[in-house]
Amino acid sequence: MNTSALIMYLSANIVVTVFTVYFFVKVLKAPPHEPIDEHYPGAHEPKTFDAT
Amino acid sequence: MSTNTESWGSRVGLVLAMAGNAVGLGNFLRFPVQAIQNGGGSFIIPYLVCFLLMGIPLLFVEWSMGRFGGKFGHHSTPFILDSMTKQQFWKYIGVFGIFTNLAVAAYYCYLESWTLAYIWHSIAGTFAPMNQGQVSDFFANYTDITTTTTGIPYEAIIFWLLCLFLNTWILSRGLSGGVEKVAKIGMPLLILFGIVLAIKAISLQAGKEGAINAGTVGLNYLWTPDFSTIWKPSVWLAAAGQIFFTLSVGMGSIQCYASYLKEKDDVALNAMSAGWMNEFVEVVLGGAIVIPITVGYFGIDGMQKLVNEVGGLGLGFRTLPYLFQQWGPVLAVVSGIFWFGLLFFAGITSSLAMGTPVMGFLQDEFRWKRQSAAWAFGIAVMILGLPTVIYFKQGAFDEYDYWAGTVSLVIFALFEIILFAWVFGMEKGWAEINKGADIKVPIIFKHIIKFVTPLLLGFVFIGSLPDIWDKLTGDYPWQVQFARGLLLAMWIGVAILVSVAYRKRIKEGRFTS
Repeated sequence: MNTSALIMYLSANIVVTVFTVYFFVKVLKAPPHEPIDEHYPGAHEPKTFDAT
Repeated sequence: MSTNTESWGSRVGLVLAMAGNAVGLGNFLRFPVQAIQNGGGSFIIPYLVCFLLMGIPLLFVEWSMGRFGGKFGHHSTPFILDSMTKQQFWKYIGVFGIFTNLAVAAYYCYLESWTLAYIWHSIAGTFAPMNQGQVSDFFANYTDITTTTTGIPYEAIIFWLLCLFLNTWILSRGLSGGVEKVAKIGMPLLILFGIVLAIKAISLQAGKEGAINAGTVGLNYLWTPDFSTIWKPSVWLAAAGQIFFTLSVGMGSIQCYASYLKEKDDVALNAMSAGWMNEFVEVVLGGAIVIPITVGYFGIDGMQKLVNEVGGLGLGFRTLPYLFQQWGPVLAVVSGIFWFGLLFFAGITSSLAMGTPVMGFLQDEFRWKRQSAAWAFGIAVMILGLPTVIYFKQGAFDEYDYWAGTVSLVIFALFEIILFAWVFGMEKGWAEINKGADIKVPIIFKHIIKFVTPLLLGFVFIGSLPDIWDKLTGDYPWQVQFARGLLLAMWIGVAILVSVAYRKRIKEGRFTS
C-alpha cells in the first residue's frame, strides 16, 4: 500500500475501533439505574388526561 | 390500556439490538462502492463529519423521542410524536414511522431470503462446478421465480416464505424472548464472520489460489485519497446519504425500541455505543471484504467494470460465490456460510426492528395480543411484498426501495428534527437527552441539533429532488406504476388506522398529550 492510503486506512480504522470499544466498555461497566418506585400508584400506567 | 407490557431484558441486549437494527447489507455492499466512487480514502472525511453532525444528533433525538413517548405508553411514532406537541397533524407525520417499516420489510425480507438460499447452496456445493458467468446467471435465474435452480419449483418464493415465517415467529416470542436473543447471538457471530473474512481478504497473495493481485492492492485502491474531490457537493451528498441510510434513522424503529426503556434509563451512552458499533461494522469490516477480494481476482479495471454493471449487491451475490470456489472445496463452503450468514444476520436484525413499531401500534391502539400482532405483521408483509417478488425484474423491488427506503426516510427525519428542536423545544429536548445520561454530552450538540442537522438534512432532501422529479416524470412499466400505487395506498391505509385509533382514544378518555 502507498503511504497516503496506509495513513487513511489505519487512522480511520483506529479511530472507529477505539470509539466503538470505548463506548461499549462504558455500557458494560455502567452501574444499573435505580428502578422506579413499584409502590408509587400508577408507576407503570400511561399518563391519562381528559380529552376535553 | 395497552396490552403491551414488554421491556428489554438487559442493557447489552438493547445496544446489540439497536446496532443490529442499523447494521444491514448496505454496510458490506453499499459503503465500499460509495467510497471508491467518491474519492477513495478521502471519502472517510466527509463521511465521519456527517456522522458527527447528522448521524449522532439524529440518534440522540430518536432515542430521546422514543423514551419520552414510552412513558405515556406509546410504542409507535404516530402517538410518540403526538405526545410531544398539542398540534394535531404531527400524528399523521408519524404515519411515516409505520408505513416505512411495513414497506421496507415487504421488499427487505425478500432480499434477506436470498442470503438464506445462498447459505443453502453454499453447503450443497451448487457453485462448485460453475464458472463466473454461470454463477452470475444463477442469480438471474433465481430471481426469475418460474425458473428452478435446485429442482424445487418456485424456490425463491419458498425461501421467501421461510424467511417471513422465521421473522414472524421470532417477533411473536417478544422483545426480550425473541428480538433480544437473536441480537445477542447474531451480532457477535456477524462480527466474528466479518473479521475472519476480512483477514482472509487482506491476506490474499498474488499467484496463490488463482488470485492475480494481493488483497492489499484492493485495499490500497479503496483507501488512496483523492483530495481534489473533497469540496465537491456531490461527494458530501453521497457521504450524508450513506450516513443517513446506514444508521436506520428516519424509520421509526429506533423510537420504538427506545420506547421500551424506563423513564430514567440512559439514552446518550446507549445511542453512542450502538452508533459506533454500526460504524465499526461498516468501515472496518465492510471496507475490507468485497473490494480486496474482487480486485484480487479481477484487477482494478475488472472490479470497476463489475461495479458499473452489477453494483455492490451484484458483487455480493453474483461474484463472491464464484471467487470463494478458488479457495478450495472446504474453504469455499466455510466462506459461503460465513459471507451469507453474515449478510443474513445483518438482514434479520434489521427486519425484526421493522416489525416492532407495527406490532407496538396494534398492541397500543387496538389492544391486540403480541402473537396476533406479529402474525398480522407477517401476513401484511407477505401481501405487500408479493409484487416485489413476482415483478422483481420489472422494477417493483427497486420502486419500493426508492420511495420507502430512501425518500420516505429523509422526509420523516427532516420533520422529526424540526419537531424535536423547534416545536417540542431545544431546552426540553436537551433535558430529555441528558436525563439519566451515563456520559456528559458536549453542549455543542445542542446547537448542532438545533441548526446544523436540520440544514444538513435539508441539503440531502434538496439534493435528492432532481432524482424524485425524474422518477415522477419518467416512463415506467405498469408493474412499477402498480407498486407505486400500492405504496400510496399503504400510506393512506396507515393514516386511516391512525385516525381511527385517535378517535378511539378520545372516546375512551385516554388521550395523552
